[in-house]
Amino acid sequence: MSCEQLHKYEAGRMSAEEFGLHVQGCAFCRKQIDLDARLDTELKSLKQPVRAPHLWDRIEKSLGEEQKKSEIQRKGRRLLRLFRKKWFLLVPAAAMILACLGLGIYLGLKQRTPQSGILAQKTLEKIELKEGEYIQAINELEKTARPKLAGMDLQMMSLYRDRLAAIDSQLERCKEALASNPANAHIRRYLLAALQDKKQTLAEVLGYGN
Amino acid sequence: MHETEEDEVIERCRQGDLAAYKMIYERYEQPLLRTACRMLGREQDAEDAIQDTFLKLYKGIHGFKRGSRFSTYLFRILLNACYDILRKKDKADFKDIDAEHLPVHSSHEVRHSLAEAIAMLPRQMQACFVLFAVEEFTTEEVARILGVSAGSVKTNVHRARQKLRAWLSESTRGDEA
Repeated sequence: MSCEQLHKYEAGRMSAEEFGLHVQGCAFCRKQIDLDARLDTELKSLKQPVRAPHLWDRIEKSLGEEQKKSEIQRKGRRLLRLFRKKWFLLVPAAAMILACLGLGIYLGLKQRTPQSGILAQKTLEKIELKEGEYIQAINELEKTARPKLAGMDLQMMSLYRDRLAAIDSQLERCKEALASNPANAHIRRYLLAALQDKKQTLAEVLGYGN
Repeated sequence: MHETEEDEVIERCRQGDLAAYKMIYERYEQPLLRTACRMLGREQDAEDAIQDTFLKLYKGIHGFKRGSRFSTYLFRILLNACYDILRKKDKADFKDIDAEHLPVHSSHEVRHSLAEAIAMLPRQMQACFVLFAVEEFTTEEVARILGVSAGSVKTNVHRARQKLRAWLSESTRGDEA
């Protein structure tokens, strides 16, 4: 149910006086006016205060977080702007950093050059001393073994002499090489192996026939 | 807070002064809360909307033109925050509920259920009605807040009144029965 006059009035196409006269004879419009008045009263009651005791604390916290975030972003932007404006100033600095880095790497590598084949002076002296003692001991062993070797049958004597001669030749080559390169650990290892071989051979000669 | 005083506070807000934001909050707390409550129906949602409003205000205060009306700007942000919450709650597709489908309550519940009835109005109608009839903004101010024409505001307020009158009439009938 509706009334055309009410629509006209609410749309502003009818004056308050005209509508007042109409209302006197229209029960529907009277009721609408009553309801309107009641609605206005109820609407006023909706204006009662709404309590939100901790709302500002929440807002302040989130604004604080946002402030920190935007501060970081601002610093980042400033740095970027500075870089865009003054990038040419950074070239010498970057070159300097690269040069330092290169020098560091070079020196580091130089220090770490493998030394596996070169013996330090002190170690070399120790080795030479021990080698001398070892060679002397083998020479004494050879002296002891010589009569035994001479008493062997011809075939065996010839075999051991050839073997000892080969070892002595190897020892000579090692000594010659060490004379020009005394710190070479590889040659020293060959020398030691040859000496051990000679010791083993002499031990076999001494043990022959026992 | 006078207009010049408000301008100074806004200037401080631009500089990131949180105390200035608190002054804005204290000035607008109740109208913002009431509007958000009417739009969303739940106080918790209303508080979320206001928190979001202040965050958006903080981020966008530099975009506020000097000389514009601040309350209009602030309420526009609030309504957008309310719409965001409604969208999240999948209420975006608000149904145009006829008066007879609005909830009927006995007279002592009228105040509570009037709020419910307003919350069930179509979104645009609801916003126009709350700002105009509850918060007493002028038609032009409501139009600026919502970004619609003054004519559209008038039509929406008129239709909202019709629906709420019908709902009130039904409520009274239910009460009498």
